[in-house]
Amino acid sequence: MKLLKELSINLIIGLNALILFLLVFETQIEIPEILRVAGRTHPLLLHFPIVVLLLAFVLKFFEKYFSIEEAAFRKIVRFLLFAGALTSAATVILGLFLSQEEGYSGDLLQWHKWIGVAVSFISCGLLWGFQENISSKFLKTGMAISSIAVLVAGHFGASLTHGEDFILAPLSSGAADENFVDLTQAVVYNDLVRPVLKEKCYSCHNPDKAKGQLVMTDLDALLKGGKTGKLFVAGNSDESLIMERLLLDVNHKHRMPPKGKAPLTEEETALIRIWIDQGASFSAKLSDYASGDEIHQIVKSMYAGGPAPEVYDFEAADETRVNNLNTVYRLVSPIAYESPGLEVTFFSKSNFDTKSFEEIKPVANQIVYLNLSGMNVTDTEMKLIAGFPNLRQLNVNYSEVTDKGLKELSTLKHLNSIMVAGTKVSVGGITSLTGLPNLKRIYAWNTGINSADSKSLAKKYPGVLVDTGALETDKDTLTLNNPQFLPKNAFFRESFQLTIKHPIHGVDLIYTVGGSNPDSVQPKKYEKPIFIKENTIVKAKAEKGGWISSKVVEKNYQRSSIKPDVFSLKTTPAPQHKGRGGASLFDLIEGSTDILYASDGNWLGYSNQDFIVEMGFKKPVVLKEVLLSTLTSTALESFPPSEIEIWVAYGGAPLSLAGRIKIDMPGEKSPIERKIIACPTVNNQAVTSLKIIAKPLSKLPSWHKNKGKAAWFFLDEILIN
Amino acid sequence: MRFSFKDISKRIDRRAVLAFLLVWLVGVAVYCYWRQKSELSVGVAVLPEKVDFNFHIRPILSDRCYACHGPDANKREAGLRLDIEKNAFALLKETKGVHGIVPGNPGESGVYLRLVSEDPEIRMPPANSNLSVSQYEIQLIEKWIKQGAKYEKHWAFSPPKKVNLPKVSDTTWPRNEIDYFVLNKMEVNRLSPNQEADKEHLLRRVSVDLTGLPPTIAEMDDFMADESATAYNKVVSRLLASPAYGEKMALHWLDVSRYADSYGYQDDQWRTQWPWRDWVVHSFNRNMPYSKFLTWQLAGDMIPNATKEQVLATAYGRNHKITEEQGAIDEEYRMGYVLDRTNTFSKGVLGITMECAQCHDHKFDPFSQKSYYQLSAFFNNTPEKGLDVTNSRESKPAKYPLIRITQEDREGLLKFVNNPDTSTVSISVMSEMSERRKSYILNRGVYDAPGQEVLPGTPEAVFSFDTIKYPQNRLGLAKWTVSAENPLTARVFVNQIWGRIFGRGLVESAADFGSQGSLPSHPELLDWLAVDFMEHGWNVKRLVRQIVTSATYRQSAKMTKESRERDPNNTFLSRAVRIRLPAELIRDHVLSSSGLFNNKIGGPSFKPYQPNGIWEVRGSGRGTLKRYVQDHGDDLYRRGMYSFIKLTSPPPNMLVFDASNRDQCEVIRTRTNTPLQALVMMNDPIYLEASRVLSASLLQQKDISEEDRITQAFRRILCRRPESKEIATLTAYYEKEKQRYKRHPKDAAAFLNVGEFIYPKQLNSTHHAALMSVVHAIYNLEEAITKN
Amino acid sequence: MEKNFLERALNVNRRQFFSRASAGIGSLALGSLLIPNLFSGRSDEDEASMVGMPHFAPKAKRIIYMFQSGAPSQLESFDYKPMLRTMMGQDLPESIRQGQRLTGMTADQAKFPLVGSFYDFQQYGKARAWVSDLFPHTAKVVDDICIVKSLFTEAINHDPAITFFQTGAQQGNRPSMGSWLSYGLGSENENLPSFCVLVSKGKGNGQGVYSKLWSNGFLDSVHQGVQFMPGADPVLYMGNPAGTDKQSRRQMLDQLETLNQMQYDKMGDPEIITKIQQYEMAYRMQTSVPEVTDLSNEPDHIIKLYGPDCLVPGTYAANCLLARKLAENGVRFIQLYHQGWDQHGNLPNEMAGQAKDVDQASAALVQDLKQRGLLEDTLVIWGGEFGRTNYCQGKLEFDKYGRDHHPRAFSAWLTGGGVKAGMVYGETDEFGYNVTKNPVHVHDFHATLLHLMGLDHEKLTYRHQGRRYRLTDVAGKVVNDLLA
Repeated sequence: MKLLKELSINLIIGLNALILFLLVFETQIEIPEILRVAGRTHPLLLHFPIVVLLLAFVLKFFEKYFSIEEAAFRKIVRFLLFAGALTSAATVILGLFLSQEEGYSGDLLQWHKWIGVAVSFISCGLLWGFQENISSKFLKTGMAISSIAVLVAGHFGASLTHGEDFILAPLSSGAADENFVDLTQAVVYNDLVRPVLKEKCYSCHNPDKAKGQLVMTDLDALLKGGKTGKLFVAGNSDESLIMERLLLDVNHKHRMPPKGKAPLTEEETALIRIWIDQGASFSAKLSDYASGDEIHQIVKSMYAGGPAPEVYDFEAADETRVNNLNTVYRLVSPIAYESPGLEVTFFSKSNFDTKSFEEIKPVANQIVYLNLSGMNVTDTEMKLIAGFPNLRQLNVNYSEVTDKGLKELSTLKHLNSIMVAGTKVSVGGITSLTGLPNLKRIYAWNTGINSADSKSLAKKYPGVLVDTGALETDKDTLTLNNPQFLPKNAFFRESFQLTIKHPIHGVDLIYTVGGSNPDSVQPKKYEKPIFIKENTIVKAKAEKGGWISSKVVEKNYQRSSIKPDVFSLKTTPAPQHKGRGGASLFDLIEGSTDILYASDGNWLGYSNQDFIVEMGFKKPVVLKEVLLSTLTSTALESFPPSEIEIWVAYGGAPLSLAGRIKIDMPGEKSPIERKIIACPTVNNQAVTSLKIIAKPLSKLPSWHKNKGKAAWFFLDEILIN
Repeated sequence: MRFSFKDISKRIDRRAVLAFLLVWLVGVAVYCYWRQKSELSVGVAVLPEKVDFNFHIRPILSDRCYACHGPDANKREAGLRLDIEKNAFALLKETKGVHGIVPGNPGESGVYLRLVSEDPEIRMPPANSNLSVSQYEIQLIEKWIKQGAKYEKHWAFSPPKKVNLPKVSDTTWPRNEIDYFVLNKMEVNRLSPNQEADKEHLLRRVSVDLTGLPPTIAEMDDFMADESATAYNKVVSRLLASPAYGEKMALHWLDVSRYADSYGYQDDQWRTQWPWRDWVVHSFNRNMPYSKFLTWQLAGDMIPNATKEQVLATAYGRNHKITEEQGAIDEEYRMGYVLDRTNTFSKGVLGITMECAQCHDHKFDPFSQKSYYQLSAFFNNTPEKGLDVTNSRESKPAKYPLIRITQEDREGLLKFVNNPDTSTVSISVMSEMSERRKSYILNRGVYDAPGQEVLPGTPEAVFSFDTIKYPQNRLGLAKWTVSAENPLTARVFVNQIWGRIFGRGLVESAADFGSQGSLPSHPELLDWLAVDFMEHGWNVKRLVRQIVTSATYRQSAKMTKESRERDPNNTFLSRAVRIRLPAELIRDHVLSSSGLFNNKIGGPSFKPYQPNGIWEVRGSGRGTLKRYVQDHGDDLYRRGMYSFIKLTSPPPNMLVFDASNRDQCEVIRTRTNTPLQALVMMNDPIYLEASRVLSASLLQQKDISEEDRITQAFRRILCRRPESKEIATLTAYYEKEKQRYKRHPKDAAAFLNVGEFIYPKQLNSTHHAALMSVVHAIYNLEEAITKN
Repeated sequence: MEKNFLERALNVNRRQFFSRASAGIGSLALGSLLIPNLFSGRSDEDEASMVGMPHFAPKAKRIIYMFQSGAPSQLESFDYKPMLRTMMGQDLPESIRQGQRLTGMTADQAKFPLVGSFYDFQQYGKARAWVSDLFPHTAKVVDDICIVKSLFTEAINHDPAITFFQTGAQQGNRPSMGSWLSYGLGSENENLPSFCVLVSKGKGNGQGVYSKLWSNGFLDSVHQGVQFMPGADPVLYMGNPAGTDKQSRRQMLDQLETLNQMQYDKMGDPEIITKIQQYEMAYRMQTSVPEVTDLSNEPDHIIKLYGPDCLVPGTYAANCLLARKLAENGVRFIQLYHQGWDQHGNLPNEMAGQAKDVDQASAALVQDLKQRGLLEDTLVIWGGEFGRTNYCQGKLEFDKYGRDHHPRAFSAWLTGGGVKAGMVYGETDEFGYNVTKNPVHVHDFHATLLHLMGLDHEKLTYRHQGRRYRLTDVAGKVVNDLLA
């Protein structure tokens, strides 16, 4: 007998200890699945303590009405007390588990919890007292308390699960949900201003605790103001006490709310200001104000950015399951942190098939956005899609979807936009969609539907926008862009193949060789690369039906048949224009002229110093012409050399001056261009070494803005034939 | 009804029941202990015996509280300041009768009550701060207050002390002092060191760490052959003596001092700071003491009758970006340069991030906005201009003040400046104006809102600047910096070197030793190294030798599942690091193992292969660097550290591997693993060319089997002998490729046609291409670009 | 307040009493099993857990930012100021200038003669928005876009100003906006970079763009912007070497995997496995990128929509078309740069050229996205780094004037993903010099973009070297008026 006592007492103490523990570490506790289950039996178990404790109480109170033999009676009561203590302790623990789950919080819970705990402790105490045979007066009161407690706790519990004032609800008219504000209907004071006051002021200015004798909770009191006087002057915020207090410096002793309390946000303050300035009406609606009015902006920024994001009423899918659905070709992810909705996107047509699509079925209920753009989605998949009840947006652009497939979608009550651009769907299919209750937008560009159809649809279903896309651009005519020449370089050795290209498929390329204009003389149509072996001017343009022909482009190809076997620069070019040294002069690469100044690594630049290069030829060459490709640009102070000398030698003989010419300078208005300058001709004599000296212009001409300064001399190639 | 349990009690023996209860309790207790232990072993501790302010409390306060209750006077809330004992213990201004912290009594301490409060209006940190303090941290604070809430000076600001070597149980393992500290930590955390790495791995590791280059086959064979105990030390000496050592060390310093070859803004034109870079390489090679190294760079020009070399060193102060944008406001940019110098110095040398103090008092560290501008005042006295070209066409390769290095100089004192020709080079350097330019606190950090005037000075918190001892100029600053009392300089540098070798500093946030930075994993070791470093004349080579000869360094990099779980970040160094090589060294490694390598030191930076059009499409279309003109011949095969850095468009294949873009002082690089890296390794022509050339030179060797060739390639790249299954896989691959190229000879030719290096001899293109594929594959192995 | 405090204190002491009193280690221990991190020191900041997905339901899933580098003049595009024509040549009143600082180019200019737009403006769309004759195509889509006329910034020179717009700070190595989004939202299509950069050049005076504008700063370099280059090899180092093809590359990867796996078995370093995966992803990129960048299948009417240049690689038009394809394929952030908007002189002429480059293609992109329904969740932005002065720089000729940099007020337009369409937001004074209504600072602009992408700009933080960084630094306010 004693044993049982010990055993169960041990147990009861243990459990109560556990209760204490759970209370202390509540914030850190995480309930494993299995215990959750246990926790959920709380509502079931809680009935035992209620019954048992009440029973014990009743028995004890009406002791004398039962004619039971003393000992037995004691046993019964003790048993009941045991049971009561035990079950209540257990119930409390399970309750604490349950409370860890989502959605249990707030004062109600706190009350319920603490009273429940109290019950457990009291009944534990009672048991103790009973063992110690304390006076039955104490016992009775104790039992009374516990019984009341258990009832109260029960009530709070009920309100928790069935909603506050569940019992009295039928009598009191349900109060509107505070948080939700329908801006279209909102009454400025009641729905916008009052909540602010309630949140930031009521705590100190209510009937129970009227600081500064100010009560704000009811209108009359509000109008009456506090001991410092009226709270506000309708229509004049500057004169209004409340504004003054709100705007005081944080550290000022009259500032409201006082430091430490949450202050009003900018918007909230502004809102109150406007409300007062607009006459502090208690009835005015937000919609009464012109849409441009400041108040709308403020309200908007208070209720962040217009319509709040949609809240989904369905359960979230299991997280790991969602993660496992992700492959490199399939994205399945929550549309936002802690949102049950999923967005699903497929990539890479070649990796898409019905099987890979079916794999997402397990989360069919959560899919909100589905993007199958470019996948070969057929009507089979559409059947499956019909089973995604929460789908909001469906993108099947450039898929195999047909009208038949669209008809499948009649089940998608939430669908609000669908993209079917570039598919075979026709008016029929679209019409079948217009039945969907929430469908707002259909994107049907580049389908069987033309703008005419969409207009008629728009008439029929004003709620739905059917976008059939861009203004028919096919009709307006545009100018073709220019053809391109390949290779790009203007210089060549012996000969080369010239290719003419154009980015747009199906254009005709018309060209001439030898300078005549493609429009004038009988032009050729480009079919295959053109073979070029001497200096040539090529002109070309592009034509295509429905387009305006391109401009004529031209290029002057220069031959440079001989490359010296050895060469060396006798003078080093300026550091910022040293190109790749002598090599640049014989690499057939032209320096560009479309630049502000020459530093593209192809131009050699000289200033204040002569350009001197020596070239050697293994076997003697007969020089027909020697040309310098130079840059003329007044802006860059780049001019042709003032004079050029040519020195030649045969075999070992020393170099001898073979010719010298002066070059006349370009005028003020001359454009930026590459100028090919002929060196003095070396009348057809064979040479093995050749030296060129070019003297840069020493002073810029008088018309130049930097006149007197030494000019530059740029060259990018030496052409020898 | 009758309740009698006699029969029950008969059957159940009381003792049995009690025993049962007992067992239950014991069981649970044991479970608890086990749970604790297992938690412990992952390196996370239960509440420590003694809660330490520096190590446990300050990090929490600093990270979650100082923003509003810290040094920043302007942002301070409720007049509560928690970084100073006195203020923290004082009465709260806001709540009568409550003290911020009451030593010994959390229950009375406002701070604690605010932390545990359930009322969101009261609880700290406030919801809108998006900060939170974990339960564990709260417990820490509670315990700390219970233990008397003792404040301590921030660890990094109290001078390092050389403590006695800690006791270790396994005395056979340590090779030098470092190991005692490391082993001790391991033992405390129930970890044991890895076995020593095998010689092959060790040789590769140390060669890479000291020279950035892999060992040659000959070097491998020698080392393997050398059985003597000193074998390893011999290698270390050899490596320290090689000129490549200086280059490897310099690489780090170039990041720290944001070295680049262009001006950085808008037209981003060409500049010649490279002689300074050559000087850095040179200085490391001749093992210049770090103190001197710093002094010269900070104030070489102010040393009495300074040599040209000393002046050259000060180019460090002028490596920052310089604008040439017409219309730039001179003063705005000049101030920008001054602040850049200040940040570079404080971050790279003092290891404190002061730039936060540019606009307001520092939020976390005791650096007032004033102290920031005092520090910058040192650097505010150079006769430079913010914009010293009226027209970016007149861009010069250096800006005033500058020095010119002539041919004579190079024949004399400055031999280390590797100019290709006889021309004169000019370098932007520092110089001091005779009359001090006034410096001010800049409100909001903007140049046109000068506030109170300030004189040059250093942050008091670090250690005070004795104006009698030190002149109030850069020279004084240099002296102050390398003074033995300076708690930071040595620690910071030692930590940087450690970080470059172990992949992570003893203080992980190597650029922030402040209260927001991470705490040293081995504080005593850090201090010991720092003090030892100073005691031995800031001898860098000695420091490096100490580190690489330690048993800690010589461990194997193998990770057992256990060690990975128990020390995931290798905080306790229970194994060697295994990390990818830095961008530049990947290139070096490939080039030198392939034989393409050009070991020329210094000189103007070179322009390697680069995909077409990158500079052209990005640039302004003006300026000396408008077009990318790739170099040719030997220059193509120079070390990565010499590749031309145009700030607005740094070498893309380097950025992909986390190289610094040199825009600002960078102390640690991030280390990532991305698909673009794979693309570079697979398709960058330089790596294909290297494969081509290496395979060619292998084919040269007559009468050896394909297998031998592959083995050789394997050894040259991975510096170890392949295992049989590895060689098998590769040979099989070789055969497959051979078949493929036999079938498509055109492909072989095409594949071989990469890079400008002309290989003299004609080879069978099928074999060559196939072998090239294999070599290229080896280069693409994770191990090839990993230090392990 | 005090009261509260006593309660707290009491409350705490009570709890302490309890915890001491809690009898029976057993139950204690039992309870301790329910506390996951009783012994671990980690502080659970949701900051970390939120990385990789929107903080709240996003309006936009991706951004196409058509950045007009060099700063197009608002006065010849969207901010119509007839007054400047009537006051042509008169000096800018100091009352308006209010000591605004000047660039070095005009600082020494004696007078600041006002100059009106050389081009006329008409009103378009429901909002009757003024658009200059330089942008006829944009004018056609005004009902789809939202023109903001009240942007302002602090920077007055190009480099800091562009850097400010792209990274939220004028100086330093901060992550680019695209990197922030890639970090905050993760990638949508794993087979493409989540942050792509497309650069084109106009004929006008250019200022260049810099790779640091799409740098990942201190973020992991997977968030680095990847520049798509015109021509055969759109992503650097993407093309297989000559003489190899997909199969042979596959071959190689298989060998690599085998060997790397061996290495892993030996060393046990998880990085090795990551490396294997990275090679696989690179391999997939090699297929998906060319698929996306291939424009050859675009029908003629699309080509006409964007203009014939859209098939010339590297042009703005081509980049716009490419941007659409990237958007279709799940790239988070597509950054276009068009250079050449820095008209210090010869503005009417140069700007006409620039406008011709961008007008048609920009409008086409909007149109094209719209007709595919992509505008629903794609945010499109058009604008530069600052505005241009209302007074002339250099010699004043009615058809040859120039304008200097002007940070105080400039225009840009946005459309798509959650942006209110057909609206003109903000106003400037009749001189077009100061914002008079609804100013939008660069930080606000960023905050708003992040908001549209479902990110709270104050929660999107990254801790680096002891400090928490934000794209919006310490400022920024979502401009709710812009939200649909």
